[in-house]
Amino acid sequence: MNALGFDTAQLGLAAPLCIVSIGGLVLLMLEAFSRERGPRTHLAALTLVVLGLAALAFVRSWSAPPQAIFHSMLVVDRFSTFIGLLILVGAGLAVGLAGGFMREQRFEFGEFYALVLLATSGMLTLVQAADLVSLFIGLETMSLAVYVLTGSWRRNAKSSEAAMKYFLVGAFASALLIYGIALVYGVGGSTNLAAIGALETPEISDPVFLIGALFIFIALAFKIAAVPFHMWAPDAYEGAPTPVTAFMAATVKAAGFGALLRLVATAFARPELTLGSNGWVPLVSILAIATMTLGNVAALRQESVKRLLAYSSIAHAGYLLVGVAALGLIGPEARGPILYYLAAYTLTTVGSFGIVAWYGTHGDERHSLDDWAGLATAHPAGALAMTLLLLSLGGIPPTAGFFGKFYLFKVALGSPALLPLILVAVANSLISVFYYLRVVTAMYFREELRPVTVVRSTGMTVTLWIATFGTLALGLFPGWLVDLATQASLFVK
Amino acid sequence: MEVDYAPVLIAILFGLGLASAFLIAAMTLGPKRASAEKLAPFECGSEPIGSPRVRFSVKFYQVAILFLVFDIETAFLYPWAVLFRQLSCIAPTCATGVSLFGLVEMLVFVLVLVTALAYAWRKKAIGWG
Repeated sequence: MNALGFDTAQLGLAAPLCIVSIGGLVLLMLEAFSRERGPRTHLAALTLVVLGLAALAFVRSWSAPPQAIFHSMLVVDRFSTFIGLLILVGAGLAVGLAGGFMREQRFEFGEFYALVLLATSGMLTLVQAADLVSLFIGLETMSLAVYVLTGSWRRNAKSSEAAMKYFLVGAFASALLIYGIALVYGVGGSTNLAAIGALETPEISDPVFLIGALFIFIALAFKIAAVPFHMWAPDAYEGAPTPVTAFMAATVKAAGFGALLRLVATAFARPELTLGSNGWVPLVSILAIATMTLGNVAALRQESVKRLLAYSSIAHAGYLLVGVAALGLIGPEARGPILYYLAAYTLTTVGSFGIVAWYGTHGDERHSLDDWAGLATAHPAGALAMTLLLLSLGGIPPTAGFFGKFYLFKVALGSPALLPLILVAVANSLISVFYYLRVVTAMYFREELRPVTVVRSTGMTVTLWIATFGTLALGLFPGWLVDLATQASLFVK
Repeated sequence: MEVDYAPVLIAILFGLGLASAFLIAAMTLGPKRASAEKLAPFECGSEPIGSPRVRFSVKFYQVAILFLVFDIETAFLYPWAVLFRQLSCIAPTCATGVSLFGLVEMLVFVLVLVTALAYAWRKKAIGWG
């Protein structure tokens, strides 16, 4: 203890969060006090520098022992570091996409970069939260910034509609979360995750405690867009400016899963807690089946590629929930595949939404499936990248998506009780290949109806190449990331 | 334990008493000259009866959101000021030393809010013009 009332070494551990938050505020001021009304290339570059510094700080804290900091408000462990790095990568790629898209669609505004950083700081708080209060603050910081980003395309009515719907549903979810926290606190007398995890009967058998835990769980289910709490997602994903959709679909989901996995590993880890003898497993299994099936079946009928990808992202939350169910039956080693899957999903999602953003010009976004006809002739490289990313989403080798599913299902098979769930997941993967291939056939085997136009932007091109090569590289050489994910999965405080 | 809440009860009773005193005083002492206008339902500054779907100027929302910045500031400053002595001590008592914890924490908080205010100012969100 010193004059500041806490060990300043903790600031070093919280460095990623501090860098991103301060960076967000500085960028906001730079935008407010500059006269630049054209492209904000300098702000984009600065954002990437801030995200890079935060990533470096994360890498430095990798070898630190897992510990709670700031009066047990945050926790630094390899698990949060892994997801934190993923979030930074997702945010960086979204920033890379945004400049070109905003210039092309003529709604340039520098606050975009500040908002991405503020949302990122919320996500980092969410995955590092060691207390229900910091969890709530993280979730709100993230959500409020993302609502604004969703509605940031002000001249586009769909963008405003998306923001409104997302905000209303999100506010409802936040209310549920805070209500759940209040109930859990009322019974257990603490908001600290570890302290809640250490509660004994009669507290944990109290129905009020169960309802509180359920409310918290439902609030997170809203954020990861699990069926039946998904209804905002297709509209919000479709209406948001496409780089924001990429950002939302990848990082918000990663942060939500980070918080969910920490909650089931700490506060609500007791098997006798919820329904049945295996804790939350039956509940999560039902949610997983509903999410996968509805996501995939609804995606079958979509005529807009962007909306199709939105439903596909719902389905992916379902596959990830299979991993959460496996966690309950198999134990911490099931966390590794979830982390790997999240990494693969982040790259692939940002990449595929990135190509949607890249396709089309001002006032003429090419979302409908017919518009994608003939892309392969006009832009062989773009069509090839999209094909690869879609194959990854569908889980076909040699991509990251394939290895992610393979690894997840293989570990989940460790428990025979999960076999039906895995069969449903595999059947769903097969269904999903059908609609992914619809886009591929449109690109390769149909004549173009209108001349193909794309956004010309170096930042976008570089970002898309990074995402595509990343997806391929993770599929071909998954070993190192599996090692990191395994390490991360075993260091949860 | 119950005695801790006595001030709350007194505050509630005082509030109720004051409000009823004003109402009773107005009812008994005030002159009554009714007219159609005076008997109409009262709503400050607008027509009391009409469609609820009227369009409001976006400026109202702007002011409301700006108000939030200051409102949250005061909501946190009050409990902070009440607990300032405890926040400034190195536990368990102030005899063992003084800590800057409370001061620095609030400074960081206010600084973030000032950033929001500076942004609103630069973007000309303050003012009605």
